[in-house]
Amino acid sequence: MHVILEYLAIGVLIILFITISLNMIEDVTGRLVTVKEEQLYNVAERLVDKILLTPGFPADWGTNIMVSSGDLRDFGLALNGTRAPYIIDPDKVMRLANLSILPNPLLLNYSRIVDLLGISDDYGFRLEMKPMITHVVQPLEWYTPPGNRTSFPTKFKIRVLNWYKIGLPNANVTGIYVIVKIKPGAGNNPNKIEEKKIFAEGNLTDALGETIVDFTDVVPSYLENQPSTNWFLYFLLIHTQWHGFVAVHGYSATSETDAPTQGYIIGDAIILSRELNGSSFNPNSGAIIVKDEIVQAVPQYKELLNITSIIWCRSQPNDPEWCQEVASKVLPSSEDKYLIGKIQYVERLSSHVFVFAQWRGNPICVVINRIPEIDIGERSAQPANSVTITRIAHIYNYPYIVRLTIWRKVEG
Amino acid sequence: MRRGQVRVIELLLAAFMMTVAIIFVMNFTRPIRSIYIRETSDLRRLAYNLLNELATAGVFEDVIVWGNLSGTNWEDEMRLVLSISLPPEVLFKMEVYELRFSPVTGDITFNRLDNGRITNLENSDEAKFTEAESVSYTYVVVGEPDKVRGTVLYIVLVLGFRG
Repeated sequence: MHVILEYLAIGVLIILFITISLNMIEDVTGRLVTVKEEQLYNVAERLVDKILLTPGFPADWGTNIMVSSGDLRDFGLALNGTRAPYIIDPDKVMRLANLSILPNPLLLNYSRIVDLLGISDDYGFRLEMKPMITHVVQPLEWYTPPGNRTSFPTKFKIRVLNWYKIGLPNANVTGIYVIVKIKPGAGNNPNKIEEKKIFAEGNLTDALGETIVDFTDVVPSYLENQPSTNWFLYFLLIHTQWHGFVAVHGYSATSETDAPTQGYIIGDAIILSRELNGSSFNPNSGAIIVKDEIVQAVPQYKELLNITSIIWCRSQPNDPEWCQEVASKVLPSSEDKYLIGKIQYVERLSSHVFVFAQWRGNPICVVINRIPEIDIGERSAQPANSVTITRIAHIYNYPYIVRLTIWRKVEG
Repeated sequence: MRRGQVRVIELLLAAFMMTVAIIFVMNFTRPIRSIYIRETSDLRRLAYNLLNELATAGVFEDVIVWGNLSGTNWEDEMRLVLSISLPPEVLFKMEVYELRFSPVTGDITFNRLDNGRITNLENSDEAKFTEAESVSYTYVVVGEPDKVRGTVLYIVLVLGFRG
C-alpha cells in the first residue's frame, strides 16, 4: 500500500511539474510575442517620424543635384527650415519618383533608403505616398482644325478620387485649358511662343465623383481662325477644391502613345528623355510653370501661368559650366539617355511645369508633376505580422498621404 | 506506516498548493497587452493629425458652421469627409459641441450640435472596438461668416479598429 501511494505521489508530482513548466514556457513566449509586436510599432513610429519630421543630411539633398544617393548621409523628407510638422520637400519626393517611361537618373532606391534608415538587415518596408485627392482624366471629344494634323481634346470626363480611389462628390473642379501658339523656327531661328490662350470651365462632381468639363464651344472657335503655319500645343490644368482640401493635376496627351511626355525637375534641373529636342525652342520661352495654389484661388488664370526659360545642355564643349558638372558628376554613365536643362526660375510652390520640346519633328508638351505618386518597397511580401502607419502630410498647400508598412524579414 | 502515508499526502497537498499559487501569480502578473497601448497611441496621433488638417483646410467652418447656419444635413457631409480622409480599416465616431460661456456666472455649457450620426459604425451604441482612442480638440472659429467668428467648438473624435 505504501509503495503504491509513493508511486501515485510521484506521478502526481510529475504531472504538476509538467503543468508548471508548460505554463512558464507559454508565459515567457507570450511576453516575447508582445514585446516583439510592441517593438515593431515602436520601430514604425520612429521611422515615420524620422522620414516626415527630419530634413536628412545634407539638408538640401533634394534641390542640390550634385548630391547623389551615395553622398546622402541621412534620409528625411521634411522641408528644410520649416517650423510646422509634416511639411514635405517636393524636390526630395522627386528623388524617389521613378517613371516607367524614363528612369530617374538621381533615384534614391529602396536598398539605399533601407541602408540610410539602418533597417536593411532586420526589416522589410513599403513606403507609399500619394496626393489625398487624385484625378483621372478621359478626353471625350476631339477637334481637328482644318489643315492641321493635330487633334485637340475639347471635352473631358474628370473623376475626382480620394487616395484609395473612392469618388468625391460635390468637389469643385476647374479645368484650365491652355493653348500655346508657336511660330516654327527656320534655319538657325528656334521655335518661338507667340501667344498663350487660356480657357477656364468649372463644375461640381456628381455622387460618383465625376464631372464633365466642356470646351467644345471655345476651343474650336479659337483654332479655326488660326493660320495653319503655326504650331499649337495644349495642356489642361485641373484645380479641385473639396471642403477646403485642394488638388492640382496636369494633363497633356499626344496622338503618339509612346511619346515621352513626362520628366523630372530636381532643384532647377529639368530632366527629360534624350529623344526630345528642347533646344529647338527659344530658350526664353521653353516652359510654363504653374504658380502657387494660393494664387490659383484667384480666378485670374492668365496670371497663374508664367513662361520661363530653360538653358539646355547640348553635350558640346561650349556648354555652360553647370552642364559640364552635371555631365561629369551626376550622369557619368547614362548621359546619352537624358536631356538636361537648367530652368531659370521655379517658384518654390509651383506644382507643375509644362516643358515644350520637339519629338520626332513634332512639338509636344511634357508635363512635370511635382506632387507624384510614390510606391517604394517590396510589394509582393506577405509577412505574418506587419504594422502600417498613416499620416497626412503636405506638399505646398496640397494634402499628401504617407503610409509606411514595416515587417520583420524573418516573418516574411 | 500510517505516519509515512500522512507525510506523502502532506507532500502532495503542499506541491498542489505551490502549483496553484505559481499559476495564479503567473496569470495575475501578466502585463497588459502593450501592443494595444502602442496601437492606440498611433491612433491618437492619427486623430490629432487629421483634426489639425481639417482645421487648416477650413473644414470646420465649411461643414459644421455653415451646416448649422443653413440647417442642412451637415452630419452626413462630415461623415463623408472623415471617411474619405481616414484609412478604410479605421472606425470613427465624432461628436461636436459648442462651448458657451456665461459672462455673468462664468459657467461653461456644452451644447451638442450633431445628431450622433457622424460615424461609420452601423450601430454606434452597440459596436465594439478592439482598440480605440478618443481625443478632444478645441477649435475657435476664425473663418467666415463674421457673426460666428470666435465661436468655440469642442470636438471629440474616437478612432479604433473593429472588435
